[in-house]
Amino acid sequence: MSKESVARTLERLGYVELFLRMDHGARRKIWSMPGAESDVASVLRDEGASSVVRFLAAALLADHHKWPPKDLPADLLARVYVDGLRANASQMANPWGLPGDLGPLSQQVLALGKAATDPLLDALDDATAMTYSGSRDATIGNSYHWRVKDQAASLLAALRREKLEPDTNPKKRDAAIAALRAHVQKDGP
Amino acid sequence: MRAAYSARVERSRAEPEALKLAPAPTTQRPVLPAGPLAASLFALQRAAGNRATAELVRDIQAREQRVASAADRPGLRILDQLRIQRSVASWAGEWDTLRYKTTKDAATGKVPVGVDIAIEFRPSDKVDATGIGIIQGVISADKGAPIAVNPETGARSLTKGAMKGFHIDQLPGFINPLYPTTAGKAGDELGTTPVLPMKTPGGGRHGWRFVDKKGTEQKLSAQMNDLPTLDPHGANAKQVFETTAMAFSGHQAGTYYGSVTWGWRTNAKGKFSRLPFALLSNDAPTETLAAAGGLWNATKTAAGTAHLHLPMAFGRWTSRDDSAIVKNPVKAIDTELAKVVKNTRVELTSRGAAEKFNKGKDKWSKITVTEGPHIGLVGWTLRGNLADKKVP
Repeated sequence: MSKESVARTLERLGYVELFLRMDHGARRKIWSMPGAESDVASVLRDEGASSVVRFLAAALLADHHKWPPKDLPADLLARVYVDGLRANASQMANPWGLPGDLGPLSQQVLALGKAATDPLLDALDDATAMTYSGSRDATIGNSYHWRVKDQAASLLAALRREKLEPDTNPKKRDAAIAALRAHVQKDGP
Repeated sequence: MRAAYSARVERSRAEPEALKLAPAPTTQRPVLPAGPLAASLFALQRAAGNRATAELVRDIQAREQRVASAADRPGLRILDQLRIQRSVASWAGEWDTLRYKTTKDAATGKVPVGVDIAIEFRPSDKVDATGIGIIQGVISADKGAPIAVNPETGARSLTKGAMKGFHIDQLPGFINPLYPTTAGKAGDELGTTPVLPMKTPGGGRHGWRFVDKKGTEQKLSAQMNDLPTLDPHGANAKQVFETTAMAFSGHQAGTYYGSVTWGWRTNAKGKFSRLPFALLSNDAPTETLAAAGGLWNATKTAAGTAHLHLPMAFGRWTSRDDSAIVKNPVKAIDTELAKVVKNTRVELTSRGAAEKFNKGKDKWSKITVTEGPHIGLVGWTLRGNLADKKVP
């Protein structure tokens, strides 16, 4: 296996096939390849690779290893995760958690600590919609009209050991986001 | 999600005055023995070859095939539209849709990605329950294989067979299996967890039907709403539901009131079809939902909190004429309620494993009659009077 081969595989499979199927066959297949760990890390570091592919490589490592890994800089990982958030690399919003909750991907970002502050601040202006799939998850999640900036703000607040109450009105959330940004810029992360 | 709900919650018992007028409800609901039942359901779920499960799965698949074929034939599309929204009757009342329509993707507004439904169960005069809750199970699949939208759901989904991926439809971290409930907390019972109101997405209300001490009928339909979505999805995608109602308190506690199926699917070419709203079971839920309920009971939330126990009922037939149903097996002769004929359909709601009267040679099971002149009757019958299928 090579870095290029891993990247192509990740691009072809996407997050759903890799992480949301009932079995873990796709991931097992990747990890069974010789040199997979090194190749996956190389994809993650490759600035020429797409943000989706780099994010998938990071999520694979998080799933396979103690997180965060010691041999990869936290600021790199944080940038890759937030870029993935902004690129809808998870294909659905669910792995980030329902509004007011922090799902597995959010927990992985929080584990990176203050290194995630700068990329999250950058994402506070990103109004890209996040769509939930499923049944009641989707019904309730999509009723919030959740956006990338809402998720980024939730993560920023959690890094400060605060909690942003997820108001159902996006305009009220915008006001809370502005206040949070001001606090972070004034106090530091 | 817990915090998000706080401002939008209403108590499920919105009309306590009605309940104050009621006879003291049977709070001691018949609870099936957790250990053996969970084990048997696990066994059922894990045994893909289990005959009952296989028959059921074949039935559901045949139903889906018929639906897909009908939707694909232009000449039948109008007929299909007519039957897509209708009420259906079970032994205990009427199931109806308050709305049922296809939803489109947010990005373009053109691609169908799910449905928007509001369901109502209107109890008939055969029902005697101070609390009726709606429970539903779902399978979501894309490209022909199931999807688990979060790890907690995946951990309590069926892992084998044609209904692999089917699970009780409840949010991660929530402990109450009744659909419209909020997260719940330690000490809750099925009927005490607050619910999201019907006007809120993912909300609904509990219902009831009983006659109070003054002889006045008290009745409220149970309702729920849902907007299931897979956005995006491809060919061979589906979200198929079984929605049921159960008495969680009152004389018929533990009794189920039939189940309906609905949802959507795409065929191999990606063509979208909304499934008809149809009766799936006249009384006890299907073995698939029972197995998903067993997994619900046997698992915890990701945070390690136990789920509230979901009682499960199973369809049976009386195996002989003059099968006696009694109020109290200890005084069986003095408390006989009725005798029913052979092949009377009943729901088995409890095996009574913890009851003292079952320590001896005779074993009694708690049942609710779901057809015939004694429909709605609750009592105990000797286990030997019950069969898994009709007897010749």
